[in-house]
Amino acid sequence: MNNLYIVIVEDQKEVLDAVSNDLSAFEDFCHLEECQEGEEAMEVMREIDEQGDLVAVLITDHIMPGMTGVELLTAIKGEPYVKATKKIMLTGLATHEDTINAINLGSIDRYIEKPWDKEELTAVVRKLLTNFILESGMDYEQYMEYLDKPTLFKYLSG
Amino acid sequence: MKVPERSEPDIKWLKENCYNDPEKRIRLKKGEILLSPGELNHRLFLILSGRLVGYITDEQGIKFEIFNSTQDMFIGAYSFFDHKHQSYSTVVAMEDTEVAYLDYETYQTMPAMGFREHILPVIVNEIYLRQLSMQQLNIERHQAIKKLYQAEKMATLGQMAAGVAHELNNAIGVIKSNSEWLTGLLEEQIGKLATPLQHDIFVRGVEKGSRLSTSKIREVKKEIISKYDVGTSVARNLAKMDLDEETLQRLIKQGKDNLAFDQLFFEVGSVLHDFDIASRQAMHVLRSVRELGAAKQGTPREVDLKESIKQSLSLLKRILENTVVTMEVEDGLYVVANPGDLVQIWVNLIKNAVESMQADKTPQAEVKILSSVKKGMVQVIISDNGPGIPERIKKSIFQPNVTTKVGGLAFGLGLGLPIVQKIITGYGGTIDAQSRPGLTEFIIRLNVIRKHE
Repeated sequence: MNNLYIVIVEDQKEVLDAVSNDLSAFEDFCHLEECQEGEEAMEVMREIDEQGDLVAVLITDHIMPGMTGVELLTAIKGEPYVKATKKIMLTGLATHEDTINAINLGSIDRYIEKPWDKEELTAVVRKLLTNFILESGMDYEQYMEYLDKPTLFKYLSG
Repeated sequence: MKVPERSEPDIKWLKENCYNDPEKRIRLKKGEILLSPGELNHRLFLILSGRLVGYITDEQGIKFEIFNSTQDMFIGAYSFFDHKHQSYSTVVAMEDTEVAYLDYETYQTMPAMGFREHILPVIVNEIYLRQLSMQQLNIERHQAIKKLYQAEKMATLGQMAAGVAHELNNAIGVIKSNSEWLTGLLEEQIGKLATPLQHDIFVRGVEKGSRLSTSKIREVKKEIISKYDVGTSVARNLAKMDLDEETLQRLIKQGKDNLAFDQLFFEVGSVLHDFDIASRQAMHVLRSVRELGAAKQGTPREVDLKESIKQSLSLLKRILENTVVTMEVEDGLYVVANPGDLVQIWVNLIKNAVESMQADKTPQAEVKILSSVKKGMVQVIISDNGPGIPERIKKSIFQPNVTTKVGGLAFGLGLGLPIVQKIITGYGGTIDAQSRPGLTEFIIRLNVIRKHE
């Protein structure tokens, strides 16, 4: 069976811990992977792929030492291991230009501003996870209780 | 600005033929006025010694200097030759001055050719010099205006920042003291009610937080999964605790079905740890911001330069761990300043150097602090062998909002160098920077007192 992964990239340890604490509810059916750098994240996602598992959601900060979030997103664009992955940019210090690049070059699905709201973050992740599961053609019934109901309803009725 | 080569006009002839009457001389005491605006003038003066300055005064009473003339220069050409014969400026002696003059009547009786031929280059020269001084004045004014804009920007920013800082400071203060209270309370209660191991784990979280890198955590997590029968999320949390093998075993054995609960003690502890780190950082940032807007505190006194640098180094001990620091500063040098200000200068500059090298992972990182004394000023050079200041911000490093530090709680506010510069210029000193990859130097000059023991 394909395990689902949520990969979080954030250079600041305290923030990283806070994000993953907020997302701990997803650990009932997903694995969380924490990374402090873009390069590290690429390696981790490749490994996940090699294990035969799936990166369902990638959440990345923008301003980090080494690769920026947009650079990471641009670098992995088209890579098979993130083909269907839903991408979220979580950042507080991005300029207008960064934001445009994140959308155009990084093809992000959602942009969340720091400081984030736990409810909003988990709702967005839940929705994107649901989309990922439905689009990937997996057996969604095993995840039924965790999925976003309106999204699921729309999918089934549409 | 390049000035073309210029030949001095020959005034020998004029001196000998037109200014040779010892009766037609005037001595002026320093401050005495030779001409006033509107005054009738029929004389063309030649300065024999001393210095005269001409200026006009605007409606607000502000004086604008028009010329500043010394020996062998002519004064009064405009009013002398103009048909109204009125002076347009005030001409005042800057020092005791002697002038000779030619009066209009004599001029009119003189054979035209000799005088005109000799005075013309003189007048042209005068015009040229005045134009040059006007240009110079313009440049200076332009620079002054630029400085003023900068100062104004800093002042406005400072006031605004101080206001915001004050508000935030109260809020952060509440968070900080409450989290301290909560930490104390929890530690006490956990000590009483929970198992000793749980208490240990909690304290560990509070003291160290979760400080392993994510890749290390992943490695330890895999190890734990291979050795013990635990799920991935539990293993990850266990890995974060950075426990020794024995404690880990004990925890897994005791915890068994309760591991997720035991882990909470660590998580709560490390969250409190992060509160502490974050609120300290916030307060540090706020303090920096407030320095910008705050009036100077404390009275300046003679401060031992070497001592103040040593003090700064000891404050920075922790971040200097992997950096070689060389300090060659002369003994017995004193700077009149507020000791805290001096420490702030050194701390900021040394910290910048070290942080740039850390971010760059510079091998054999080194900071050098050297001093030399010249003309009553001490020059302190703080240099590092780091990556250098990025070209695109080189020109603006002393302006607010310029930073190279991104990421981490220690992100840059871009206020360090403007504050440093403000402090240094406040003491009549200067700061300059030179940078290329492999060598960045900050050169600080301050007034110094040398005392030999």
